[in-house]
Amino acid sequence: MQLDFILNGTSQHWEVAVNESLLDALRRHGIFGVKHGCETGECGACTVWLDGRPVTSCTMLAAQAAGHEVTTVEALGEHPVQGWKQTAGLSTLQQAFIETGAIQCGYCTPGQLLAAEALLRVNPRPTEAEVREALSGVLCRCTGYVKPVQAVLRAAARLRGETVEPLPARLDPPAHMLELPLPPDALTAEPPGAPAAQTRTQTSTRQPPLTVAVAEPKHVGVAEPKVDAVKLAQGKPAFTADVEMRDMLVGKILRSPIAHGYIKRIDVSKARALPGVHAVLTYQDIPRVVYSTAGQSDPIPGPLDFVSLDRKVRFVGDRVAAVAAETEEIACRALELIEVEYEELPAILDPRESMQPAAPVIHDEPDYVPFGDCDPQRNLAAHINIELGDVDAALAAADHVFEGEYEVPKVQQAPIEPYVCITYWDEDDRLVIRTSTQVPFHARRILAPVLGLPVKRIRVIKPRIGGGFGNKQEVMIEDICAHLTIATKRPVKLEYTREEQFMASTSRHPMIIKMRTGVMRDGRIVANEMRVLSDTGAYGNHALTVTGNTGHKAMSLYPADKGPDGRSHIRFVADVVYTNTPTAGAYRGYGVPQGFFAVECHMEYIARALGLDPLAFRLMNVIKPGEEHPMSKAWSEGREARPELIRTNAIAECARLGAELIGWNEGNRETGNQGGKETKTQAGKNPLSTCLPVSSPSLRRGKGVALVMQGTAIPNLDMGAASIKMNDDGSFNLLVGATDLGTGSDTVLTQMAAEVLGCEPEDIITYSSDTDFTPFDKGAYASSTTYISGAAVVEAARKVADQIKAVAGRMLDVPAAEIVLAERRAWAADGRNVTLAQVALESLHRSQQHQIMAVGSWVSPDSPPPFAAQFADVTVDIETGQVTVNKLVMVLDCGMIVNPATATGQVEGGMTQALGYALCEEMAFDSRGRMLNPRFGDYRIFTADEMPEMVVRFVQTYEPTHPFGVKAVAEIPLDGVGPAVANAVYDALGARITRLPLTPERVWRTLRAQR
Amino acid sequence: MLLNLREYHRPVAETPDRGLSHALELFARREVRTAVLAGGDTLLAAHDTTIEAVVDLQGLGLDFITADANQAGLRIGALTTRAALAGHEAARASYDGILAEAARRWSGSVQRNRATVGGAVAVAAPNDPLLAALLACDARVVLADRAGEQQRSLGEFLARRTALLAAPAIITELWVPWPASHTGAALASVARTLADAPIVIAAAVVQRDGEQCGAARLALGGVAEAPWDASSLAAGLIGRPWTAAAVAALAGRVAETVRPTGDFRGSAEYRQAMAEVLSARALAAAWHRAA
Repeated sequence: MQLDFILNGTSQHWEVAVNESLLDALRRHGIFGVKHGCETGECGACTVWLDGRPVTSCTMLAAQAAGHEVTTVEALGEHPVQGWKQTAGLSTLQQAFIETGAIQCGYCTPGQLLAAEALLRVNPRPTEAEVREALSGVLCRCTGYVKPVQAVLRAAARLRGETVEPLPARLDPPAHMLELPLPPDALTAEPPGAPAAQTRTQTSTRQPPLTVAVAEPKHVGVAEPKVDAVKLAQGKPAFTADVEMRDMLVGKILRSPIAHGYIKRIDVSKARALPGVHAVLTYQDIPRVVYSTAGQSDPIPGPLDFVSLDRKVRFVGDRVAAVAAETEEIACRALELIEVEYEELPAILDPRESMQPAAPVIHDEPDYVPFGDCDPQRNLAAHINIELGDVDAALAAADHVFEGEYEVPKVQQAPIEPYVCITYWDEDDRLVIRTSTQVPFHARRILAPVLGLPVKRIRVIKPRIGGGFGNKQEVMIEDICAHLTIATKRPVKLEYTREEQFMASTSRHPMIIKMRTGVMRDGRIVANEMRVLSDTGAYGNHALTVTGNTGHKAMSLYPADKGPDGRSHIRFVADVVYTNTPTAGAYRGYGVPQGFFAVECHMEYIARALGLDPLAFRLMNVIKPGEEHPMSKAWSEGREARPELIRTNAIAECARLGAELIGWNEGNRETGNQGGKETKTQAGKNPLSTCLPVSSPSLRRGKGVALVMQGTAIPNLDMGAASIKMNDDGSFNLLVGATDLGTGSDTVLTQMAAEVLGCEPEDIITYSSDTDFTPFDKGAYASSTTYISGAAVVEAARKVADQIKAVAGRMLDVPAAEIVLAERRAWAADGRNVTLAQVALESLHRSQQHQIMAVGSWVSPDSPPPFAAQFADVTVDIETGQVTVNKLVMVLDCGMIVNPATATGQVEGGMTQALGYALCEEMAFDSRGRMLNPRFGDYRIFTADEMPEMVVRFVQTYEPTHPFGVKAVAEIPLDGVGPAVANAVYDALGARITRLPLTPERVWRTLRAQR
Repeated sequence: MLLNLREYHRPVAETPDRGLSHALELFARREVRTAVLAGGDTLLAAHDTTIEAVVDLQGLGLDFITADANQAGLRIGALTTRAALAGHEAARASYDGILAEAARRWSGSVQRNRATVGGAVAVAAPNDPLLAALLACDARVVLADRAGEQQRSLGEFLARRTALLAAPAIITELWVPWPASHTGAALASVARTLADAPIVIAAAVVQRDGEQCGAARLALGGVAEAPWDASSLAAGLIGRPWTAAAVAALAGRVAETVRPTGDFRGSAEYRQAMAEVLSARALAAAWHRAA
């Protein structure tokens, strides 16, 4: 049908299908600033203006827009300089988004911009609450909304003509310390014999001992705008699906309606006969190659238990068949025409049943390749057993032994951009895979045997990614898309719906965790034991490594070495079992949030039982700088384990500062408090709260804490590389295999390179992740990019700098060693200098010609843990059980901070995901294994208008194993919110709740049981 | 995707009535499964493959909020968006603003720019705060069918919703009487997060007659398949002195009466308990505001 409407001020006459959504019609016409995030209007990524009002375009028929005016992000503003043509430039709001760091992955940015711009046009003086309401219709999984809200408020002020204070470019020096009732040795004790230089915790920014850049860092430590922010603010076609290709087909997957069974009969003849269908594939049509979808280094530390298409289905949503057709509509019709008869088998939905003697065997296929201690006949995907010291003897000698059981749910990473992939043959008959992945190099290596292609005939391109959070550390759809391209010879696009994203991608491993801890009367922990039952779902990707990290990280914070022999007595035992539920996998934190929920709730229980201050008790027992990482020699992701030293650890300072920021000692905080002490609550202030007056006697207030640690990359394994090439204007191409998912890694890598090369970040053209062009990198996971890939960039930059200095030395007739690079120039000691452009021209065109270029790569024997203290302030309604978090505080020791804006953004976004883990996120299933809430809304993630106040501070230490002193920041924010909130609820109610999320009903039931 | 949709109609006429009759003719066709298209958020999100035609109501002039001619109440056109209702002065001023509050208490701001009041009533999501608020405010539904126009109480409409709409009939507007003097109104809800859809919600409207209850209406969401009008129970308060004990007793009767089913947001048992807690809260707050 004909659609006449106005798009971005211009009349349009389009031919659209009657059932085509406005979103699809816009994207089909190249308006790629409008994004697909769901099909139910709940994420807001597809927001456009309809006659000036922001609306979702996925739940509107294109036909409904007839006669109306539609505006997209493309109309808001553009790059100010287009060659000889000047434009009006970016809008004030777009600029504010860039300067505040409000853009992370950028996938929801167009929606946020349109929602906010519409507000500013009718309300030039919005309150923060009004801004938050305006943004409430656009879900963001990256930012925690802090910076977008700040951006809108700053833009509003600018548009009113007010002067806006510049944002602080650098972090403040650490705040002053406060007094805490701590035992005198809790903060200062150093293990005997450790060298003083290694044990002293540094709390102020200082120069690296091995200076790689100018004396005063100019770019490292500065909140530089993200290198990709300008394009993302414009909604440029930067993401996987934002391309048009001639003859591109649409791929779709038929999914199992049963949780466990065999395909008894499958008839695809009607589907194949449907006009417009180009391929229908089942297990009968493609080679059977077992592999693991886990995007990990070679060899994969887990079982090979997955094939592209199998005769057996193992969860509701498992693959049955794949279709490629001319359009999505035809592909959907083809799926309906496939006739399948199943032989249903008993299903295991509860991991406690997986290893029961009569349990059905989920992986009975003969080509299963086991790894380590797995035992598929018992549905055991992985088994881990770590024993340090003599735990039984230490428990027996302890004054008290505390036991507890904790349970954490299955939750989804829920990136706003679902899985999406495009595959095609290039002119050299090489298969190109353009995909939203965290692991392009692993994907290429893993897919080659599956597709029957040598690695060299595959090229993987990672464009901009709309969030990953571990979900895309998986090779989960590229195989099917490629099979369809191989079958049809045509480009194929395969894009998950939101429902598929929930049902058939990955999740965090649900776990049941039992703790047993031996403690002396004075609070010294002398033995600690954790036993985990972890549910990997239908396949064992990441089974061993995720759950191993649960113990490796969470059980290392308290070394349990305070007994007479000074040795750690720690036991970690885990069974990772198969169930007939959607596959678990990597999710930011990688098993550690699960572990810390148990450990930190358990610590709270012990402290209160012994009448000790919960914070002081923790600090008495926490690992100290200079100590060996207790688990480092025991386990390393299924590979050889080597000792690691904790060189930097400011956790005590983090705890002190955090305590001050949360008001830890205010309001007569006491163990076993009776509640009701304070009545002024966030719930009372929030316009969304409808229940109670602020002084209601049914409200209780509480505060909780959790201390946490993570790791920084996988030691002795994770490798990243970078190349830097100098161009004849003195600019550089930085090519990295590192995979920016919106985290800002391209930016911090650029900053480090600019620091070493003495140029501006804008002089570096950074290109990330194309297996044909960029050096190898293991990918974006394990909080490794700034540390590992960053060191690789520094290595490459140093080599390039040396080459520049050699040329400049020749030009200035001084030894190369005397040359210093700064301000886009090479300087001799006497002040004479040449520009980098002159150096480049000399080297490329004039004398002793060669390309100034170098490659750096890095692997680290260390995985220095970042540390943090997280605090929560909550209000609990004791009649309904509803928990409202008023404030979250996180103070982190993540080493030196390269970019305060991106680092705080990581923490705010991570805390927000963790807040969902604490309160509301949970994948729910019925008794037949069908997911009950596979859509946003039902699966609740926090929106802008219901966020608590969040405070983030860094206590910077200089980690000597990295050239700029960095440690990881990305994952640790996920670790402590759950236990801090649960402990705050414990504080408020005097009742322990040992299972997440803390839904109103769970809290209510606990209170009812207590009465 | 509405996979089998093949017709899109947007009736427009000189007068809304003629457009309406055209729309009703389209709905009356037995051979083509035809659905009402208001904002589209629910319909398109449902991906119903049986729908073959939609009738878009945007051309029928149903997007209005206005006082009625007799100054007896507020007319809310069926295509009024939740955002428009939430921002409307009269909706914010009368009934202590619970209609505006309830309109806002659903989904996000962008979504409320499309979601319509008529759509909410037609869908009747069990926990939609707007339905509970409209029931408490004694709203009436105006339906157009081929015989003309009819009005029904919202409670009656909800009880017979499927049959009434299948007639076919189109919801054209809601009518809400202005509150009597000394009337207070309140919502009370529980949800996983502050902005999440409620697990259970109660809406109460109370008229104060000195220390006695002059009138009382109560509605609950999240305790039945559709929003539930509990006003017949609340009537037990009328003409009696208002005491905490009376409210508690009434809330207890509410809890005894409801037979909710549980889901992932909350079990039946929990919903039943919350029906009591939230009924009492909403009634108490409404009384307090009526002062």
